Amino acid sequence: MIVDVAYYIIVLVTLLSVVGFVVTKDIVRAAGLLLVVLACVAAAFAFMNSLLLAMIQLMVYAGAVIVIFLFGVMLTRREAPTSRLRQLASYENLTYLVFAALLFLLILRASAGLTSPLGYAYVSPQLVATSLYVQLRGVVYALAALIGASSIGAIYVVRKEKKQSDGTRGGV
Amino acid sequence: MNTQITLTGIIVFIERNVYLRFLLVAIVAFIIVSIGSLIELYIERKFWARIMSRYGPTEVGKFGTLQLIADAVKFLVKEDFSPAAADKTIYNLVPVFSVTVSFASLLAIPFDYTVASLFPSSLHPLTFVASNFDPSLLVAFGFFALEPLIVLFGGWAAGGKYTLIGGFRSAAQLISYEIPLVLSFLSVVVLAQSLNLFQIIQTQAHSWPFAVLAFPAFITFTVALLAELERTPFDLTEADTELVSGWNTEYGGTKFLLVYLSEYIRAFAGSAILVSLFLGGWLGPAPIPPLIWLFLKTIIVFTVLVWIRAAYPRVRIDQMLALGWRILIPVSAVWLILTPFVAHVAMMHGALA
Repeated sequence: MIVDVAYYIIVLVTLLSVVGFVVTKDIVRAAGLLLVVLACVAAAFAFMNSLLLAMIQLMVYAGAVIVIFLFGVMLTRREAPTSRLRQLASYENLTYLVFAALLFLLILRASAGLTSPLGYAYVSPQLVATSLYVQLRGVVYALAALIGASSIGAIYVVRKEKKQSDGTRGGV
Repeated sequence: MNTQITLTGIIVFIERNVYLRFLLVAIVAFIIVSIGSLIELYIERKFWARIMSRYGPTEVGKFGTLQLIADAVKFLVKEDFSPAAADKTIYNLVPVFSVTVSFASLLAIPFDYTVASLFPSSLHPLTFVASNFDPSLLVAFGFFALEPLIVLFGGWAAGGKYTLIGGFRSAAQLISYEIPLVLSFLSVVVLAQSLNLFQIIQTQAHSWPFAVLAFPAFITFTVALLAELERTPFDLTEADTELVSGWNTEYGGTKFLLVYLSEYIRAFAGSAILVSLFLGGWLGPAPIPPLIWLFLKTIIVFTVLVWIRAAYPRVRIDQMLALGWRILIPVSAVWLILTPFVAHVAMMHGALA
């Protein structure tokens, strides 16, 4: 029981951090929230009795990859976002919508036809993992592609606007 | 008689409840580390002073023993301020996370066996173990690996020039010295055939200490640990003549106390890991309980680190990087390749179980 409660607290923190990561305007805070997400994923692995995987996640992804991100971000000249990017960033309601839809799908899928002896819907960590990485993998892949496309699109928009405005390249 | 039955009953109850076991281990670890950190601080100030032909703290308490308490009170009653340019949220969170992560790295250190050894119970001590899980060594270094991030966030969030440069230096140093650190402990993992610190110590009960069997790894691990703990001669991150106090320049009062405390907790954890990996952990002659052995060895290792701090000047950044990349990494990598042969020879001569 205590383990389940702890697991759901971790899940809640992960989900809130994911949304914060996407909608925050400050890039260093975004990196910080990504760190929280990765650390929480490590904790989720630990809950699923994969301590080795959890520690690899913590050392490699949370520990090393984020440091590289932060070095990149902090050594880059801080500039105000371009008008087009600011306009695109204002569509954060879309993020909330996609997030809510995915969460709904996940809960629906994970809890379908499964009840505990006490009668309430019981969603175990293993079931969430199966739902997310097996049954809902199409949605997860689609979202990953969307995030990838957004990142490439953001780079494209910045470069295009830079060329149009003064011909200089962004960042140092 | 009645008291003894009650005590056994309590022990059995705790043994059967995994959460109580974890809680007990956490409380014991907290007490041990708090006392250990205080002793470390006292040794640091007194021993260092004696090496420099000074007296160190003498005024507050007998032999200056209460000076640390006076310092802690001074920090606690200071005004809580934040620089105007600071990112307040991250700036305030960093000291808290720093202490938390430092404490978390203690999860892997097998105190619990030694705690069990102090109980007057006839139950097998192994049943009491809470942190006896397979990749416990990775757990310790997993939390060690989070420190560069905290330092980087702390340096950036304070909003100062010195703090940011200190943060960068610190993160670069911590990451680059993690490589020889990991390569060094891998040779111990090969010798003990386990990532479990508990089993690594148990293996040393029937073998020579790994400090002897894997001497080059012991040396590279000690040097890399000095750099990981940001202690002299590798305290470039806090080089006072260049960076005031490095990434924690803007932290004062209680926040500085937390940052300072986390440094010494990390030092205690690092020393305890070194003792467990190379010096046999809690193993020692019988009259002294295993917990005291572990504690004593850890304090002795820390005293050696203080001695090194007093004896050597601070290295330049290029010297530090050259030492890491040109000496420590090749030596530890070559030793890791040689370790299976060493293990084979040691087994043939009965030096390794």
